[in-house]
This record gives sequence, structure tokens and C-alpha cells, in this order.
Amino acid sequence: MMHELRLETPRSLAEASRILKETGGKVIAGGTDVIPQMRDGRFEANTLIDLSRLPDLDTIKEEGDFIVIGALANYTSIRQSQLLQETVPMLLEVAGLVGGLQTQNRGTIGGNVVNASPAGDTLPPLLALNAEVVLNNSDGERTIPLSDFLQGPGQTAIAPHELLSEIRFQKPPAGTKSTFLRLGNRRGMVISIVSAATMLLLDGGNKIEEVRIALGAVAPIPIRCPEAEALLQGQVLTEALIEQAAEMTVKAGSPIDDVRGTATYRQHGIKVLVRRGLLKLGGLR
Amino acid sequence: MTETIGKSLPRIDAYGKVTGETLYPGDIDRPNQAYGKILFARRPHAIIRSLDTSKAQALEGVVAVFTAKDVPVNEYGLIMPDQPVLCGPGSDKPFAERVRFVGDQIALVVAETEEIAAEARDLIEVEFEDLPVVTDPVAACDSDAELLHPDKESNILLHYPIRKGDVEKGFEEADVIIETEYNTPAQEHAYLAPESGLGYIDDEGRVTVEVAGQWAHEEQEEIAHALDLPLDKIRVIHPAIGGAFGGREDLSIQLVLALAAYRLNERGIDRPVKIIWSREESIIGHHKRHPYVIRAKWGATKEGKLVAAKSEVIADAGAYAYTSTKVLGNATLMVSGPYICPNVHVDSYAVYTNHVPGGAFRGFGGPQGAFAAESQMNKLAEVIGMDPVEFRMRNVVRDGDEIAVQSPLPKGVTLDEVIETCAVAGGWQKNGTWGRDGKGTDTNKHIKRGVGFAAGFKNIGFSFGFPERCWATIELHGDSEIEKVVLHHAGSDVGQGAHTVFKQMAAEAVGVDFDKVELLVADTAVTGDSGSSSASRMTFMAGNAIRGAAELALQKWQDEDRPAIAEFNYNPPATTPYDPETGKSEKPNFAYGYVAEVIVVDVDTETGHVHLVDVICANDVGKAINPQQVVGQIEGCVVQAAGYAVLENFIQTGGEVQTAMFSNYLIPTILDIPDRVQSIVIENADEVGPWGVRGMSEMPYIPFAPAVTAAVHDATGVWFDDFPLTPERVLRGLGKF
Repeated sequence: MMHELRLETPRSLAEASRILKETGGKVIAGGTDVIPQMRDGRFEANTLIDLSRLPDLDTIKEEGDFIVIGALANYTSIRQSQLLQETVPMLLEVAGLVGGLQTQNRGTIGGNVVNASPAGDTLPPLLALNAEVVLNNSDGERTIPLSDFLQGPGQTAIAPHELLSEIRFQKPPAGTKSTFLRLGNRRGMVISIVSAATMLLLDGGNKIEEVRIALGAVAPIPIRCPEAEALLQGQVLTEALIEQAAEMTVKAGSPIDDVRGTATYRQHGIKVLVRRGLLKLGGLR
Repeated sequence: MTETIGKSLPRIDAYGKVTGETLYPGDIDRPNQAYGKILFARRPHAIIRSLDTSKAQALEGVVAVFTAKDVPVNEYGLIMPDQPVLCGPGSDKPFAERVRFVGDQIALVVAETEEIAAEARDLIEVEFEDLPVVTDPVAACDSDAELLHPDKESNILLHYPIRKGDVEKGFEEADVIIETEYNTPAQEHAYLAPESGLGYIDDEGRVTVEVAGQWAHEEQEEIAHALDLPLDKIRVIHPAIGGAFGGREDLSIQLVLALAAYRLNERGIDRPVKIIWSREESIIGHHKRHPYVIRAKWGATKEGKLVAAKSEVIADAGAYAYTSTKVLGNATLMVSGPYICPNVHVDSYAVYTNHVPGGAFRGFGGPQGAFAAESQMNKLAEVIGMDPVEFRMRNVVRDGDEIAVQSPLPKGVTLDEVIETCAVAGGWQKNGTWGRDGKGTDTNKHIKRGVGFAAGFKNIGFSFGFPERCWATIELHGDSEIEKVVLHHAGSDVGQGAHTVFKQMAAEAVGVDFDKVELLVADTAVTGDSGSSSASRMTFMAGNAIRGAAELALQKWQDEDRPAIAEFNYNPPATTPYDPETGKSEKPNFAYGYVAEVIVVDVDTETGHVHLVDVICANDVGKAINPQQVVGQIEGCVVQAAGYAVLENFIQTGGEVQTAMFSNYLIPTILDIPDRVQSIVIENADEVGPWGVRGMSEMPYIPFAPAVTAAVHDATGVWFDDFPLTPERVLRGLGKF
């Protein structure tokens, strides 16, 4: 179990890709997932590739109609981003709920995406945003939808020598509201038992122009709720309609029992969070 | 010279702890030290058929591997020696080759580094024969249950009966009867500093252990017993201690550290050995608060008189006895409450299972007993249609009233005043009878507000016949006037501020300024036995010892002794054990603390979250030597009890601990603690306590959980008889699924 561990600190994405290809090492950014995994002996690697010194991969910017978040952007920078506050406030909410301040200063959005935990808190908002991920290797890059990238608990479509460099999504239309809600067994520093990201755009007459609902911790990967979204689309938002949609979202999940909560509690939680999210965004409560 | 007691003087340890200068055991390094790693059983019940350490011994960098055959007297236990120091073959101790819980220790590897020690530990080959795992303390009582200790006749470790009056006749007189089964959970102490420390041979050839503990002289005795060495060949030092809460009452790493130092020295290897447990090792390796099953049947008249209280109490003692006598003893007394009741019938049992041992934890069984008692009181009040404060005031014991053990509490019973003070602060009024208007405003239709009340009492010290003692020595230095006072005292400052209070009491007793007192503390080489820093006893006991020593030293000073040195061993009034047939006891304890709480909660009926809004705690402390510290103890106790009542869910499945990390054993964060805590410090002098001091640091725990469940009932109409009140449990209780 004891072995030498080499630490590589590449200074460019190209160098990082090259080292990754040569060594097949374990990539580390903030270390909030990798270090505990290492301590518990959950992976074996002779080389750690520390991405934290790569330039420009921690920026949050607009590119045309898109918002681009560098994989190395940490939760604190997301929490403090003016751009995200104006466009996707739920990302600020989620960043403020991850761990404590120390974790928020270290943990990166790219790490949360690549770790692909069913309970990863940034994933439902990014799914709701129809986000794409940009993957690099020494030969070039490819962009795929997050929904294709996530394949199972801890499993993604990332190829052995690929690095996640960016997360991109279309800027929601002006007036779009969004919120992230979750249930845990305590108020802070907790892994979600259920989470829900909700986005809503109403026209002047309270009719739904666009709605998106994504859930975390209720299936092997975070999921969208297409049936409920279809039910709501184009309708006038009422409490009765919200109740109907919330009921529908329960069927989207396939939760399990674990040490944090039972499947039954999770199913109940889905309904509560979706209802609360839509009521809040619709100004009905 | 000014008065020093009753003042909120700053803690003498504050500066060092804030700046990081203070060394906790894990921070201390000694030249040439080696590192130890323990092989834990990691299975709940098995016989070790073979143990092969040869590969571990052969690994480069390994200094030694110790197993059961290396322990001179392979047994340990504060109340009875039922646990092997190291489990496995090769010692004289019968059945020592058995492991009985996941944290049983099998071997100690000593190596050049912690990493090598861990690698060598994993090379030890153990062949286990698994035995049936006993997890249900009720089923474990059956005569055909698998025995944890084959040399005992039964898994029932202890049984305390109480018989007073005729409980069946009492039920006949009752207009209402409430019958309930209560289940209280295990709880992890979760102190900041996991177990860590050093074992070495000191300059005078003593086997020395530097660790965090609660009772240095008891640890010294246990080590001497296991190593078969005279007491004066053993030295225990307690450096700064990062919390204890009863979790360091029993021993953890002390015995193996001493064993390693002793055996290495025999082999001519003079190297200190250091052990630091990981959080996971700490959580499986030390005892927990006993889980309890309590079946209570109580009756009262329509007029609000309690007439019968029958309780069956079953404590899950886990694998070994630890301090079950004390924990069960208190629960046996507290399960009938501080109320007048002519007919009482209690049978309480502590039962072996393959769970992590149950042991000392703030309140020592009091919170468990009080949960049943106070819940019964609240339910009876409800069915009679009487306010819960009014119902208590009609039954509360006052001076001269008999409690369940057929004797009155020591004079100076103030619970009636404590209840009234707390109730008034919580919005109650007395208009003929006690009552409270409304329960506050619901936040919205899903978030319901409720208010709950509970009261409690608890003994100071272990007592029930235990020979309590506390030693102090005072030196007075100077010529014409006293220039310096040196206090020797063993009492452990586990973080509660004991040493600051010792210094205040010594200054007061001698009549000098605070700054003139120097302390020599927490080292068996320079102090006598002070007893444990637990059971709310240390300020009470130390104060009397210090006063006694100061009086004698001042006499010698008058007689021109320079320096004037005197020692004093304080023995409080003698106490009596429970009568084995009736539980009758003339004086089970020499002093008590009294407490009452009003708790306001918001219950989210959609998510099941219970939020603590207000806690009002009235605590008769007798005399607050340092009021700031007293309030700190109340607030800390409230936070810990809040975790117990609402949040902390220690899960063991088939004897395996499912929650051995802080990512799945959730303790309160700053977002989870009550919004407001109002500490009401009442000072009615105890007749025996120094300057009137009573003990206080466990009291706020006692009524906390039943006050929370009463508040949740007020909010939702549902009684919760099991806790912690996790969101899932609450929603199930509310019938949401």
C-alpha cells in the first residue's frame, strides 16, 4: 500500500495533456474529492497531476450567447460572480451550499462535474442549463452535452487521456428566474439527500415560456423531468398546476435507501422541492 | 486583596489556545520517537483462531509488534476487568481470544514511521471464527441468547430494582394511565481532539503516558494492574485536553502506550512511542452513550397527583462493562423523575451486546432516564387537561419529600423555584394556576411553532456508596506576607476551564490576589488523587479540597512555617448503594443540581426539519465561581444536547458502525444550533458545596430531549417517543408516508 507518489504541476493545458498521456496519472484540482479518496485507498496512481497552476482555466466569462465557466473556477469565485448573479442566480446558491468556506475556496466546478456523484450539487443546475462540457487531449478538443457526459455514479464519458477544461451553456433569456433547493439532515456542510434546480421564464401574463427542472441524488445520475416540463410549458402558472407537475416529477426519480435517507423520503422530498421551487420562482409564495 | 470568586476572570489557558502555543498530546513530539498503529478487530464477534505477526515483524522499519501474550495481566475495566487489553491467544485471561466489538484491539505495531506501522499492521494475519452477533439488548436478555462472556451466566450485566409502595394499587387509584415504550439513541462524543499521546520511560524510570484523560490516577491504577507493576512505577500526565464529555472516562490508548514503553525498555530500546488515532479509529475505538429502551407506565389522578410510576429500563451496554454501573444507577433514579410518587416500581438492566461499549457521556444515564420521566409527565398533563408546569408544581419534590428510594434529597431542594423561574421566562403566568397563552405564531401553513417544557435533577459525583475523594496541597511562600501560593491538584481541565476556577478558589481560600497563585496540575508525579473530571463533580470536590488545604496551610503560616505546606483529602458525606431488593437508599448522593428548560421549535411539516428557535435554561448552580464559564457550560451543553435530540444518528448494523466519519455522523454546525439560548443562572447555596457550589455542567442535558419532543408535540399534535428527530423520523411520525 505504500508507494512513491510523483506530483506534476503543468503550466499549460497542452503540457497537462501530454503528462496525462505519458503517465496515466490521477488529475487533481482543489483536492476536496481526491485527497479523501487517496486517504481511503480508493485509487492507485503513481503520479498526481495538479491542474491548479494552469492559467485562465478559472475564469467565468461571456462568449457571445454563451457563458463559459473554466473547470478550475472554485465555489467562492462562482459565489462572487456578478455575471452569474445577473444570469443564473441558482449557481450562486449552490456554490454557497457546498461544504464550508474552506471547501468553497478549494473545490472546483470541474471537479464536481468529473467526480459525477449522484449527489453532486452543481450537476442539477448545469443539467437544467443544458450545459456542455469541453474535453481536451493532446490531439485536440471535443464538446459534448453534460447529459451525455454523466453515465453513472462516478462514471463519465471522459476518455482515459482527456481533461475537462470548460463548462458552457447558453445565457438564459432575460427575465429567467432560477433556484436551487436541497434537503439534507442538517443545514450546512452536508451531502444532499435530494436536490432540485428549477428555472422559469414567464411572459407578462403569468404564462410559462420556458421551464426546466433537474433533480439530484434520486437516480444514478442527476436527471431532468421532461414530462413535468412538458406539462407546464405554455400553461398559466397556478398552484394547482404546480402540484400536478410536482407529483409528476416524483416518477422521474429512481432513488435508493442509504445511510442518509430512504427512497421513500427522497420521493417525498422531490415533490416538496419542486413545488417550493416553482412557487418561489412564480412569486406564489 | 479583592474577592476572586464570582467573577468572570479570563481563562488562564485562553491565550495559548488561541495563539496555538498550547500543546495537545498529538502536538507533542519527543526525540527519537517511534510510531504505533493498532490492529482493530473490525468484526463484531469472533474467536481468534490464529494470529501470525511474522510478516509484520519482518517488514523493514518495524521496531516491534505486541499482542496478547505480551500483556502481563491481560485485562482492563473501570468497574470490572471484563475486557482484554489485547484480544488474541497467548494470555492467561480466559476467553481473551475473543473479540466482542469492532473496536477491540488485537495488536500494536511500533515502527519508524506511522506509514510503516500501518503497512505492517495490514500484514498481520488473523484467522477468525465468526460467532453469532448479538445486537438487540432485549433479546440478549433471553436465557438462550449467545453469551458475550462465556464465564458469566447471562448477558445481563446489572439489574437494579426499586420497590416503593404498591404500584398496582397505585394504578387502581389512577384516573389516567400513560404507557409508552421509549427508545433513546447512542451518541458519539465527537471531541475536537481524537485520541493521541506518547508512552515513554521518564528520567526516574517510570512508565509514563502523556495523553488526554479525565482521571489521571485511575489511568495510573489501570496501567499498573495490566503491567503488574507497583503504582509508583507508573506516571500519567494530562497535557491540554481537546474535549472529553465522558468519552475519556474509560481508557483508549493508555494501556498499549504503556505496554510498548515497558516492553521496549525491557529489550533495551529506549524510544518513546506515539499514537494518533484517525477520526474513524476514534469513533469505533471509544465507547458511546448507552442506547436505552424504556417501557414506562405511569398513573395520575384527575386532580393532578402522580400515584404510580412503573418503568422497565434496558441499557445496551455493548461489549464490556465500562461505567455501566454509574450510567444505569443514575437512569434508575432519574427514570421516576424528581416527583413525589407513593408507588414506584423500577427494574433496570444493563445488557451486553456486540455493539461499541456504552459508557460515560455527559449526564451519565440521566438524559435517558429523564426522557422517559419527563415525557410521561407531559403526556399525563395533556390527558388530564392540566398545564405541564402546573402538573409539575403539584408533584415536584421539596425539602423533606421522599423520592423513589424512600429518602429525601439533601436539604436545599430548589427545583420548585427553578421550574417557576424558567416558566416565567418562557411566558408562563400564575393566575391561580400556572398557564401559558398561545404557542407563538406559525411561520406559514407548513412551518408550525411549538413550545415545550421539561425539568430535571442529577447527582453531583458518582456516589451510590462510591468512596468519593479529592486531594489538594497548598504551599504558601513568602516571609512576612504571602508572596506566592502553589496549588497542587490532579483535576483535569478537559476544556471546561477547571484550572482557572481552581486558581480562583485557591486565591479566595488563602486570601490573596489571583495572580499570586501558581498551579501544578494533572500529573500523577506531583499530585494526589482528585477523582474524575466528570459527573459535574470537579468544582465541588476541588473547591472543598482546596479550602481544606488552605485552612491548614494558613494555620501553619500562623505558626511561622516557611513555606507553609499542607495537604488535605476531602471526603464528602458518605452515600449508600441501592438495596438489592428494594432499591431503598438512605443517601444515594450527597448533592444535586436542579434544572428546567423551555424550548421553542419550528417544525417544517413538509421536509420534517425541526429547527430550534429558543432555549431557556434555568440552572441552580449554587454559586457561580466564574459566571462566564458557567454560561459557557450551559451553552455548550445545550448545543451538545441539541445534537442528541435532533441530529446525531449513530447507526450500527449487525455490529458494524455505519457512521464512523463526520461526513455521515452529523453533529450540529453553527447553522443548526438554537437561534437563541437564554441561560438563567440561579444561586441557592448547597449546604456542603464550597462557597455553596453545586455541580452544573451536565444539568442542561437532562431535560433537553423531552422538552424538544414536547415542543414538537405542541406544534404538530404528535408525540415522538424515539429520537433523534431526523427529518425522516418526523415525517413518518406525522404520517406523511
